[in-house]
Amino acid sequence: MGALKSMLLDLKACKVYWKNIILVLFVLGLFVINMSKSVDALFLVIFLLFLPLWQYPFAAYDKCSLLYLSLPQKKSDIVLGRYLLAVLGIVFAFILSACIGLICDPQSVKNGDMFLIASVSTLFIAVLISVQAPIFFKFGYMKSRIFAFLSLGIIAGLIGFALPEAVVGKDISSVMEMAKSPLIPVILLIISAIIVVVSYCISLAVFEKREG
Amino acid sequence: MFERGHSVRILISNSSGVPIYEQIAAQIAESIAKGLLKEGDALPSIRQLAKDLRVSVITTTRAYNELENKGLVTAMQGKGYFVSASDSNAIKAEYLKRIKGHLQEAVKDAKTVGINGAELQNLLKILIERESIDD
Amino acid sequence: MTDILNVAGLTKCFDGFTLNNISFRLQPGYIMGLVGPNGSGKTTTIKLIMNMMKKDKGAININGYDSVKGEVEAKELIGYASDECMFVDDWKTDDVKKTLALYYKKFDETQFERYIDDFDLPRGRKIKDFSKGMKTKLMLAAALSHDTKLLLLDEPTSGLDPVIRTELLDILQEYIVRGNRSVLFSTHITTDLEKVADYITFINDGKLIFSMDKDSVLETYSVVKGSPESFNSVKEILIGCRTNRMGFEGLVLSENAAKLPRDVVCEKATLDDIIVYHRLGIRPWAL
Repeated sequence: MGALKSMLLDLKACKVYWKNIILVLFVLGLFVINMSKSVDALFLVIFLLFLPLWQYPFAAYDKCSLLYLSLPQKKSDIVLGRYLLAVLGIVFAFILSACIGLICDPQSVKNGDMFLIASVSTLFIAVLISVQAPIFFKFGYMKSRIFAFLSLGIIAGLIGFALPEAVVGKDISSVMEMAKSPLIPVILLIISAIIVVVSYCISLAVFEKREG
Repeated sequence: MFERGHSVRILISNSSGVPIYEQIAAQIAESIAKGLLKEGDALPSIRQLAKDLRVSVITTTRAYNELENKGLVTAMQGKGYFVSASDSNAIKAEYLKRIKGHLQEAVKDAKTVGINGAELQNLLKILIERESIDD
Repeated sequence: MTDILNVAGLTKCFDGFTLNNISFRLQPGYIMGLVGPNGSGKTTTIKLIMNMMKKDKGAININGYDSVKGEVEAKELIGYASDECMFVDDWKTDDVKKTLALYYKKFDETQFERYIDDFDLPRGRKIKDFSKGMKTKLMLAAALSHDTKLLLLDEPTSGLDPVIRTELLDILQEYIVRGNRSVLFSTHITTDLEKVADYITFINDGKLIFSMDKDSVLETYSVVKGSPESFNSVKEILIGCRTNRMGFEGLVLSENAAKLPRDVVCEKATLDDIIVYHRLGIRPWAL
């Protein structure tokens, strides 16, 4: 399949960044030793590992777009490959953080908190990559770096501040009750999937139109 | 029956002013006239010759077409170009035409600067002698 | 036989430049040179053939496959190299080999390794430490190691020494020797083309000036030189010219040579002359 080849190409093209990944894993390891809450573990893995990794293929593409475009594949393969790689990255990040969570805070996995937190962060990542991807595809990584940083800040801020704001003043106990429902994580995951699919369609259209 | 891959010696001058295809055709014709290439000998393929001489394929194609038009070579579909049965009289006649042209020029030039017939004939004798020494 | 390359009515508009209605064909077994001054549209044409840019109008067919609808099949058949190295800086020749093997159905790894050896390319070094000549040879090795019908080269020899350029000409002639595949080769170095090209396509300022066999090209144009006094009688038939105090020098169609006054010198045009004078046009006399 064309998209699979593109994923492999992305991974190969990011060869120079693999050093960074080893470094990050090392730093991660250091933090893990000091960790007590699984939530921290989750977000740490996401921010330190996943978010930079998500951007590397775009950075690599900037420098060797001629290669991608001269090989026998379509632009749609490149876009699909990149999104699939992101999804794989999310899955990997969660497995890793679940493992770390188990090590630091075994309780959280059992009492279902972990599942809820995981789906909230999935939504967070889904929004982030869905917003960043079309911009990266349209303008290239170098020109979009500032935007990437800003979008991360805004979305993190929204979730960090706006969400609690929305909750304050309301009946907290009922919200907490609702949050315990096993349906919430599923709904959040579905919303994430929809957002990503919409973003994929936009990226496809934008990348096809782009010259080179 | 037909010999393959004969080595044909051709030297091209880029600055002589004579079109390259003409040079190729002339040199092959000369080889045939001298008997270096005999009836039934295979010429190098158009593409191989182009590659060896570092010229374009169209150039060698044109040279071979010229030779074919003059009846010196025949194209066999799928096999290549081969030297035709040589009509030695025809070749001689062709060369005789050229010699006549050269001599006519010499006569004209001689008249222009006032060299007389006897001087011209003497010059011709010397040149013929010189040529036979070289052989 | 299907054309290896068939370009029909190709048009692309940019801000301030238009590639206008370019049409030409390349049959199997020939080398075609694509020439023209900088910015005339050569690279644009090649990028449109590779579908790296979107065309506004026209059709491009590579061995029967449409460049857009049959993009993947077409690219299988094209060996592409340009003056920019397209491989990742951090890669080594082995990474290139693995990528090519992943993508091309008929990639010959042994053939690739053989070219790496023939070209003397270092296997242990990263591509970013290659010289320009080495990078070009690497791209050529890649282009020549899978089963292609068209070698598409976008000024691969700019900035390279004559030794490499001669090696390239040998490679190109070897490539077409069986008569079933072709080369389209865009370059400034017209002396290379004057030797081995079968056809020349000349694009100037986005327009196709001609696409025909090289011998005819060199017969179609002549260079004329004359004194300032003869200029007026020649002006009408000049395609382009240069003038100075000694006189003028310009390009005309050979068929117009009969109209020349006796004191004007007429001689064969080289490809460079043809390109330069088309670019210059008629300059007002500098007095």
